[in-house]
Amino acid sequence: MRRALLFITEHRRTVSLFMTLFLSVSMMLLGESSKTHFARAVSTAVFNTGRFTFSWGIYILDLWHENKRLRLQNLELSDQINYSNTAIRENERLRRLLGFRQHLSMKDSVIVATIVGRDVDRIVNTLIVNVGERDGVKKNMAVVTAEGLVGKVYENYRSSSSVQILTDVNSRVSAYVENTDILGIVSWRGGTNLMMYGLLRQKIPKKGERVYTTGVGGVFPPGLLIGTVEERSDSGIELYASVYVKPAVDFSQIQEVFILKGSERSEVWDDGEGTGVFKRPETQ
Amino acid sequence: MKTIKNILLIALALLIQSSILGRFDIYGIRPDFGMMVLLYIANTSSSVESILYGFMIGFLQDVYSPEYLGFNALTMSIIGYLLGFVSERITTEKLPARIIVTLFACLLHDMLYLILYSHLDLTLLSNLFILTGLAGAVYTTVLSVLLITLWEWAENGGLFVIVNELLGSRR
Repeated sequence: MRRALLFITEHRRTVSLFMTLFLSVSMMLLGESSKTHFARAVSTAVFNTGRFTFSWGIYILDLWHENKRLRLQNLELSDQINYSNTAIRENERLRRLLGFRQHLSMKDSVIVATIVGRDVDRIVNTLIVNVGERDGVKKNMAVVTAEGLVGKVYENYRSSSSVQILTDVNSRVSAYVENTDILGIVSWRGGTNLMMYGLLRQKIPKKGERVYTTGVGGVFPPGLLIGTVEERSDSGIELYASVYVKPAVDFSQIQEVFILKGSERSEVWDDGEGTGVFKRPETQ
Repeated sequence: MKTIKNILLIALALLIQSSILGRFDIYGIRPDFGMMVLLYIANTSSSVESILYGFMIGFLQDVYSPEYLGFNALTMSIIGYLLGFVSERITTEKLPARIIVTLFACLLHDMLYLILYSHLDLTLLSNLFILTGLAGAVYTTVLSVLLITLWEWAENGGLFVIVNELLGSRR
């Protein structure tokens, strides 16, 4: 073995030559298909190695560009998804409004308004809508959405109006509980819920029962949904009972409202005691 | 470093040969860039390295045409051996010696290749040798002498010498 290694070292040139010649002749003696297969395997390996060696920089640059492009595309797609979701929500809301308007069967006596602002005061709860006197809006007109009663027109200007909503501290609405003769006054006493007070102790509404406007006073047409009874709010020793009412309208989410024409004949007057005394409708 | 340089040169030569060789075509005669690289390597390496690089170049050339697999590997190995043998005994720095060695190597390569290709059919061998071998050998010799001389001149600081001289004359 050692002698062989010594021989190879001494005659390395001749050995190298014969080794390469042997390999060359062996390749020549391969069959046609074997030659093709072998050459294809070698060329594939060589070209893949070469491509990897020389193109990794280009590959990384391509990846960087692709990454940048995909990020931008991702941003655009996210934007489109947001836009689509907004459009879907708007579509649903407008469909509900349209359905409600048809339900009212009073197309000529409804003014569609968009909310353009909200009162920043923490006590006074009003909305600013984009319709005013020139659109036929008058004070004390009832304001509703497809979900239910919102409030009434509090102030009207030439091209905008202020709407007093049910969660305003000065708001009072005469109401009744569905399928009963329970009457009361709905107002806001803080928190997220309304309160229906002035109820006879013998007639306490149950949780989940719906509360509607009576129409007494003429500001609000009868039968407009105000909300649903939540729970009793009095301690049980007062002369009159009261219950919490969850508003049908989510006042923080509304964007469009309907102003009901012909509902401005009179306004509710609060005597401060919660008994609900109504002014006689004014003659026009 | 030297090995990497040689491998890169081989890759470059084969890349040129497989892509833009048509631009060097003169009446159907094409230069052998693999042979040029082998000539350069034989000038700067040992005879064993010349044989192995010769085999590598030939083998990679054969991969392009599998039906003649081994032809170039064999001939280039022999040329590598002879070039290594020659470069160890005579200096090829002078232009006439370089031309003679290059031309001899190209002719021998073509002769060996055509012997294998023609299966010793002397008519075919002589025809092919006269039509492609001789002209191709001359073309390869001229181009390789030119390119190798330029390469060695640039590699040995020729460019720097010129730049330094230009800067010196301005001062």
